[in-house]
Amino acid sequence: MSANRAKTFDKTMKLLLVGDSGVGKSCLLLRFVDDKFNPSFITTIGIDFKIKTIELNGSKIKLQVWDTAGQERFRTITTAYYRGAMGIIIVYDVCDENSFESVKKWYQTVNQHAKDEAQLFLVGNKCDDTESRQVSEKQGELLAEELNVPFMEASAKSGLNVNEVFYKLASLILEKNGDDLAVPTDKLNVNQQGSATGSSCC
Amino acid sequence: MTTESESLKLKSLHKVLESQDTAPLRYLVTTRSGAMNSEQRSVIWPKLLGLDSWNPPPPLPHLKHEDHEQITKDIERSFVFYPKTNPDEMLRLRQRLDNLINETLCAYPGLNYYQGYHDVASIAVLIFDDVMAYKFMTKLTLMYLRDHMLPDIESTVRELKLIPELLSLVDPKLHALIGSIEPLYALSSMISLFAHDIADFNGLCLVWDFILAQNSAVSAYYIYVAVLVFYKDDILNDLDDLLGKSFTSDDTLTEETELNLSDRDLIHVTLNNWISHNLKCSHLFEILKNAMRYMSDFPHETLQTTKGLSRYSMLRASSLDPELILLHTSEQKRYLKRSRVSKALVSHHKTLSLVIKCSIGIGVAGLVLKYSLGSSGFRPRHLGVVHAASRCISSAQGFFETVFNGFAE
Repeated sequence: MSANRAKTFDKTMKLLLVGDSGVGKSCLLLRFVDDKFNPSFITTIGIDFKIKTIELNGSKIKLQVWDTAGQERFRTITTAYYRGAMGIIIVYDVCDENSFESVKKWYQTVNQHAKDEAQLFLVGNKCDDTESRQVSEKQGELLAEELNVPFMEASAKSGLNVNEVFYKLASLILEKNGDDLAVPTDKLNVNQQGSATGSSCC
Repeated sequence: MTTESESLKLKSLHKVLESQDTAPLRYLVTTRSGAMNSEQRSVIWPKLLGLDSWNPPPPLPHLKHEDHEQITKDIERSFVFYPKTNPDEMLRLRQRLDNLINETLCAYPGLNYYQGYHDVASIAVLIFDDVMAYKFMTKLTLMYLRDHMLPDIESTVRELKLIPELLSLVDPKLHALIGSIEPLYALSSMISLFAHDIADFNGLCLVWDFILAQNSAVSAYYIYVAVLVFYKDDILNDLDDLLGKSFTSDDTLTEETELNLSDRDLIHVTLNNWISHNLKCSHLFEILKNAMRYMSDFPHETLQTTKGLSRYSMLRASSLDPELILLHTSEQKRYLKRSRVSKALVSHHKTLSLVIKCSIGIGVAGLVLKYSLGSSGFRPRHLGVVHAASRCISSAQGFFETVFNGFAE
């Protein structure tokens, strides 16, 4: 039975992806967890997560990354999950100016519902698509400075900076929290490298 | 199904289609293989939904619904699982879907778009021509989806509670484990009538055969519960692995099963993805039969959750008057206002207790003042008491203002 299973991680972190509908939250997550990209991806309804264990500074960290629906009407149910998050990634699409303009709205929502010590991160996705780009990297940097959050452009399609975003966020959380993240020794779990349920969507 | 029995069923379907009475048709489509195929469904579904006598307002082409930006985004992500077709045909399908969604939403005032509605409408695009698709979607929307289309998601969330309640009746053991989990795991399946989660077109159509044959929006909830119960052992096995516990052994599951936050998260995600990852179409017929049995064993009118729903809800009101959407919307707005006010009251309970304490304090201070002034004249140290009293009065004022504003909104 599972009682004999060895613990395969030292720390656990809950992260959350938010941002307008269609900016590529689920695609970033799929690239990070399964290293895959699917150009036609179904919409996310409600809330779901995937798990990936990473190694950072010699310790194994289980990242539980929550993916949320972008449409406004689902916000009342997704914000309930903000409080448990140690890190929150606000995503916009560099090819969609509206999604960039929504970042401040997301920032406010996050501040309203998340824990004060939650580490935020701003990500401009789809940076591979130079033809359709509407938001420059400079604009992203300036906004990140204004909000005082770390920032990176990334591409779920090419894979550029996707791992970097999650590793950087995890190390920032680690710096902030240190040993507080240690998993109680009696808490057993299985090796969840990859997805919790093999999920690819929702 | 053998070719012989297939052709026999086809014959029977054609025969009952001629009849005015839909009861034999409703019975026949709930037998194995349902309404058979898309060609049959294009004739049978309108009959089951009673479209012969359905006259929606004429469609307004080129009119865009106010949620059209979201609709456009979702249409770009439609027809993902099926059909397998070329890019030109895909463009045409998506254009038809765009028109259908906008026309249907503009048909009645008060309808809001939600993600998942596009999954429903895409099935209508694949089965019908444009004229019939519009007729079908207008009625399906009023009868099976309208509660999910209010300005907010509250009424949907309330209806989802049917799932744990039904589960407690059908399978108390399984309910002991997952009954306390917020049933948001069922959200995508319920608002899309499974179209978001069942990736097999024929499997999904079979589910719709049953739903339409039942002539009731609540049937989707019974089917969902039947899925959970059918896969109970697999679900428990998966949870054993994920949670490092042994739910499969009979004695572990009791009404007092305690779950920590991380357990609850893992249960949510397991159930959330169950249908899309684990449901097998070969099991569907048995699942649907079980759902029908639950419907007759535990009629939804008797459930507490149903009784708590709005009288304008599609699960309670038998009328399809589109006016009900607006009535439901304003009732919902009033409800949200009331709950904001009670939240304000709760968040101010500290202020309230401070007000009471201060009132007592003021009384005591008054006596002290009276005594002191009377005995030895006014002294500066009494100013502190006066300040404290004025702070209490202003915080009391703030509290009452919040409550009154809440009511006035």
